[in-house]
Amino acid sequence: MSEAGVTSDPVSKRSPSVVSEIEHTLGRIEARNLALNAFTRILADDALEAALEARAGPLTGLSFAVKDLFDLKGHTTTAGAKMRLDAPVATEDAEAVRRLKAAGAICVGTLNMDEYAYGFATVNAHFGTTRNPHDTGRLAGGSSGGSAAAVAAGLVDVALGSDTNGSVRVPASLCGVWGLRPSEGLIPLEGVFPFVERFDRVGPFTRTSGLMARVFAVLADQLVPQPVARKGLRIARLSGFFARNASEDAIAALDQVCAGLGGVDTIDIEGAEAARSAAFLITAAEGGAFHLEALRERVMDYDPAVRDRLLAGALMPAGLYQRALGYLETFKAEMAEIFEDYDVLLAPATPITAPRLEDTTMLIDGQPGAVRANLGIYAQAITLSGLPVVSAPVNRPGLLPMGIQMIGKWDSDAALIGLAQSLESEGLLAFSPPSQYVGED
Amino acid sequence: MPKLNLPATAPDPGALDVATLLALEIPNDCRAGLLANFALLRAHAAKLEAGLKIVRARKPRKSRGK
Repeated sequence: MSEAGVTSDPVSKRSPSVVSEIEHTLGRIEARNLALNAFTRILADDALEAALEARAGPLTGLSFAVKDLFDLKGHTTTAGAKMRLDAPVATEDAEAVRRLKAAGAICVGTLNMDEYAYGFATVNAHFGTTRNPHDTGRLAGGSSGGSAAAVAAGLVDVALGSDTNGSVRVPASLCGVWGLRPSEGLIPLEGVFPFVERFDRVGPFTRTSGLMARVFAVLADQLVPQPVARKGLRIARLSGFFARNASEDAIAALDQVCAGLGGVDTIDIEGAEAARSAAFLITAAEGGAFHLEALRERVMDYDPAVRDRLLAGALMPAGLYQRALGYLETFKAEMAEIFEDYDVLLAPATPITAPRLEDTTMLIDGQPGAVRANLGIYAQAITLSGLPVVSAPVNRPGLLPMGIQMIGKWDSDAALIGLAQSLESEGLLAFSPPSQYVGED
Repeated sequence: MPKLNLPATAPDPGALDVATLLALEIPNDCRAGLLANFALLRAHAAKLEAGLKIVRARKPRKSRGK
């Protein structure tokens, strides 16, 4: 992989090595994407032109791609929607894209997603379903499923996604890669098509925590986070709501990490289930309100599954929306109390491993619930807190991936990534390449 | 392409029923999905209310003093 071969050495203005690396990347995308449907557009000409002009920077020569809701100058931002195919092209790159390019990374394309980022599956009526590189008969998760799948399959070094209710953390878990939901305001949202602005965050995906640290530094304009020793850190595991619908895989993965840590406290967040419901309701109401005009004018142009959710949100009683909003500060206060006693909380990122493509429902409290809405139950509960989360792949080679959420205090993103690096070096957390590609690179 | 007569602001709680959908001229294709999503919203509203009761009854956590 190109990531492993990158050095901090300056490159000449026209670098044959970067061009060769990007050509290799494009070849790999061509060979593997058809089975995955991770990319919606492969921007080969743009990428090769950028490679010819490659300049030295902290991410020189690394390839990246973006969820198709980041503006790319000269291209239409579809947000996964058919009705936006004829939208005007972007006149500027999104700020996060600009920062990656300025650091020397090269954009090779746009990635599939649930329409308007409203889903946890990356099942898109217009652009198709993105498949999981670990088993193409399974979902990649969503809504940034193309991003997670592209990184897991080695198609790019870095992918950008967005996380409103778990849209980075869920696909990162199911595809076994690293993902970040940063603290509010840390990574700019300019040029990102909105879903629910109060919850929207830009989040990167990588195969190693070390690269996550370098990418975070560029995106957040900070120093590169260094490994943080876990000795002395107060770490707890979340139970209650976060265990109730967890599969054996989810429990076993978290058990494995906690055992590796030498045992940790187990605590309950009493307001977690209500927090998940509040986030669900706020998302429906604000998402519906944002789309109200388009729903009036072009309702049948939406992906049906997204359309019906947005319509329901648009018709939601104002009083219910206000009740949900009123819970925001209550939950933040509960989380602040917990973080007086702890530095990091651990919870499953998803209740199950990647479901099969044909599995449209999963059991929630003993009842069938839609996969599209429920893969993110644990992520969505944390969304309401506004706290940063690293979605980390548990080291379980040979098994379907399962991620955990490492939840930190407000603005502790760098420390969380530092801890992630330590736990990766201890072997507790790690990306495992999909078996179908082992030996190919 | 049908155009929808959606209200400018969120309606009263009584909006969440079939009669309202008919009044809003919601296309047939959307009705089943919409009603299923209304049911989901109601379920989450109930969970939110249950959570609010728990939180109101909750005593402040005792710090572990670590």
